Amino acid sequence: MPDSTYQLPITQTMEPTTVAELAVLLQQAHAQTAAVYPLGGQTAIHYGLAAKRDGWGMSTAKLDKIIDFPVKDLTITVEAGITMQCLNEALANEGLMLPLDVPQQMHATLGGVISTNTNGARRFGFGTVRDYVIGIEAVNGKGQVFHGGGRVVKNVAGYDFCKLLTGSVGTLGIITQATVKLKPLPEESVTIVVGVGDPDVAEACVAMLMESPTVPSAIELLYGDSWSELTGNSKDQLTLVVQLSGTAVETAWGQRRLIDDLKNQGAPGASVLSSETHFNLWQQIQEFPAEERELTIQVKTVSSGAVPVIETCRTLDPSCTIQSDAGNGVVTVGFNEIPDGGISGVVITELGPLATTYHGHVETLRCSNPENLTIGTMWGHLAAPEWLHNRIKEQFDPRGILNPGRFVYQ
Amino acid sequence: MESPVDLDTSIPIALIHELQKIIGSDGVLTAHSDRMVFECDGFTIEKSCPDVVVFPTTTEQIATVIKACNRYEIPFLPRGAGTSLAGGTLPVGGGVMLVLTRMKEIEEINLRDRYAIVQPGVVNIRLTQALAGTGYHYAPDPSSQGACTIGGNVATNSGGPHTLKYGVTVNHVLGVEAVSSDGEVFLLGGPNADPAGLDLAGVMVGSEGTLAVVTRVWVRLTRNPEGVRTMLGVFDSVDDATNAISAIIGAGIIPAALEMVDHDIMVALEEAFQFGFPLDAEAILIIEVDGIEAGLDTQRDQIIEICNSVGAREVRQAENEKHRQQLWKARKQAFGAIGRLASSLVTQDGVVPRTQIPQMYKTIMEIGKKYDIRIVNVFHAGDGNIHPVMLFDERDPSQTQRVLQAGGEILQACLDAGGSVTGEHGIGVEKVKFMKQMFSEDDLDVMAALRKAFNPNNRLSPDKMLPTAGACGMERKAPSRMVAM
Repeated sequence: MPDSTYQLPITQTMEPTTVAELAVLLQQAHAQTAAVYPLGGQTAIHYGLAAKRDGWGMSTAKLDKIIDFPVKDLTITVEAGITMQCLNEALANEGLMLPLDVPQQMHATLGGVISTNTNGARRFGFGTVRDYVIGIEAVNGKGQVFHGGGRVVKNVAGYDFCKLLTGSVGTLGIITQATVKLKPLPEESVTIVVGVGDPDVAEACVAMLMESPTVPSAIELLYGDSWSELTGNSKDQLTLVVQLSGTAVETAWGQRRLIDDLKNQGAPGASVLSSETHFNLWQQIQEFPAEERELTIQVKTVSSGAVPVIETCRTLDPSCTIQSDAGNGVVTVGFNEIPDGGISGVVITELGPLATTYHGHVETLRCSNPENLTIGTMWGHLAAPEWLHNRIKEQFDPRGILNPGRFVYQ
Repeated sequence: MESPVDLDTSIPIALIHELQKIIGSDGVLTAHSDRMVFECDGFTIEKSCPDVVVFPTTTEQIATVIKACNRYEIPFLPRGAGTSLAGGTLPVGGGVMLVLTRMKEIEEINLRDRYAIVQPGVVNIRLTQALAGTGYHYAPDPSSQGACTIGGNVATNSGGPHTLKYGVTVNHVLGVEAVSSDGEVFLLGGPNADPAGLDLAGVMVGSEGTLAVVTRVWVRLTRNPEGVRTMLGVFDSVDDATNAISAIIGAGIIPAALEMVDHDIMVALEEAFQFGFPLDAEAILIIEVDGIEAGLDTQRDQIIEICNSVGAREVRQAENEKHRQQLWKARKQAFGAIGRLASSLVTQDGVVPRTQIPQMYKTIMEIGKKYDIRIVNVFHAGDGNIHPVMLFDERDPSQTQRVLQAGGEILQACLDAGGSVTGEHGIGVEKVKFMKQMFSEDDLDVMAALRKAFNPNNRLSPDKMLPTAGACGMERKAPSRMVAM
């Protein structure tokens, strides 16, 4: 087993029980220019460049309450340290969901999910973190508590801090509370699976699914040994997996229609999974990015980039494992050994130009030796200029105490 | 060649000559009579004439204009079609106005990857028209979509009836090209929905032109639903109608659109459009569900049952697509029709948690009674977004004063209910004073800090949105006459 249990250089861990307490601690850290590492469920602390400065761990574990759950408004306001499992259970009890498909949800916290912009397979049908967070509270690097948005689903007052903090990796503020929109749980979900040998057929199927009146909630392409058991498909070819959700009438119609449509695209023999296999397969897909291995990267392009990226990765290392949200052009690739040329060979030389062709970039999700990562190999090509990132960081955290050295700032 | 310049402006003549050189003389307005057109937008009560109006046609021209403005230390701001209802494009303190309506190309439509690239001056509905027959559309559909531009939609994070299911503008913007307040061109995001680094395209949406000038937009395209069912719920009391709204959402049904129109507005709509609205009803709901054809009748039946259970008189169905289009035309053009009801109108744009619509409606009517002001209502009900319209005669100063007080009280009631003072129109200059009621001093301080990162000398769109950015928060002496919903 590769040893990728990443440890932050933490000298002491604090567990504030109120946002006011957390603000005082950050004011102290600001005064002393002490580094602070925000901690949620610690399921993604490896996500980022290696931390080089000793500092305090700032845990949100004790900020885990449900603040307001007006069920019929389809919103919930919670403290950021609530685990996704607690949240999902509370929602399911009321027939609602936050369809983000986060791995390790027993530990992962909503604050961490927002900070890392973690999304899963159903993003195709249901959207991503930024579509759900409608209100946010955080404490910046000066110890100021600030809010954006509110508790209503439509609101354009003030700057959108919900978007600013989504994916900011705890570097602009520690998120303490969030309000999210919710969706009703669908009555039924079904999975259709088919093996696809020819990459051109795979692309044709994905293109068809993008336009399909069956409105899939997830479109996945899988490759590698570990999927065969549940999909029943040969490990040498790609497996296309489609999830439909809705009423029983809708899914029954949808699955019949899709089996025909896939056949017409050159992918005959699609089958519908049993409900047990359905559950287990989506569970495995959800957990895939979090599995420990030598190197896991994520290529994020437009949808038409998915198949070319998959094919390049298969050529690079036929023994790799791939899980792709193909409708969104997100390809997650696990390597058990780092291919020849090292991480920069994979990320910058092989996949970087291909990702650029398809308007995307490559990120390193986890690797066994994060010390060797650079901004380029960790985060890929930035979608906004460096000077603007730096200016924003300077305003929110002038002494650079929040997660120092881990994100994209120079 | 330099054209003659009207010297009735405080701008250095050398800057005007420079602007003429950059844009060409046919793209620069200097005469006071020409500039007056731009002294306000859909928020007509405050006026401030720009010193110069320019009509750039390229990003490079915008960058060069901004650099010139900076050299002369003159403020500047962008404007699209000027349909803002909150004074979002009011040139406070004058300066140079960049009107982007000549940048109206749809540059690319990519159906496979579901995006389009448009210039900021593209009128919202033109994009959907350009997509006709492809099976895709651009989802944000503000009622002003026949006039408003996508650049302006980005600035205000515009909504519309169908945002209930499909989301507002920010859910459909993937990236922008922009020019910074010091004239640098930069990209935020692009066709791919996952940015590396911060989601600054997301931050730009709804920033009301105070962070940078947007010069190009990557928008998401939405697949057309296979089927649609449009219903008209007819109610003998507004309370029953608002209870139906609350019951539909509370039952976990998210329609594509859920709109409420009360009796008085319905009468005006009927006069204007002869749709056949039931004039003896107290309120109607326009309810639309869309999606997979196979499931739509069930959803429709469920909604009809809910409406009936809370006392609907009847629920009618749009008979065909033409009928449906007529209904939406009437709804979206309610703006024009309401002009029949009174000489002066002012609307508010508050939001409450959606199940609180019934209580909020009562509060609105009580406030109307208290100030002796007639109020009619049209709500984006499914989102909790209310648009009470106050009818009055602005020649009567007492009425005017009461309308201002009533409007303030309605927005305060929205805040008290845990809502917002604006769901889709923006803060602009109109609602600056409410920012302090909605946000703490630290919130506003951090917002000012974000603005400083983008717009450090505050020369771009000064005095907008934030009280801390020097915006006046002045007491209004008269309300706006315009409405839109």
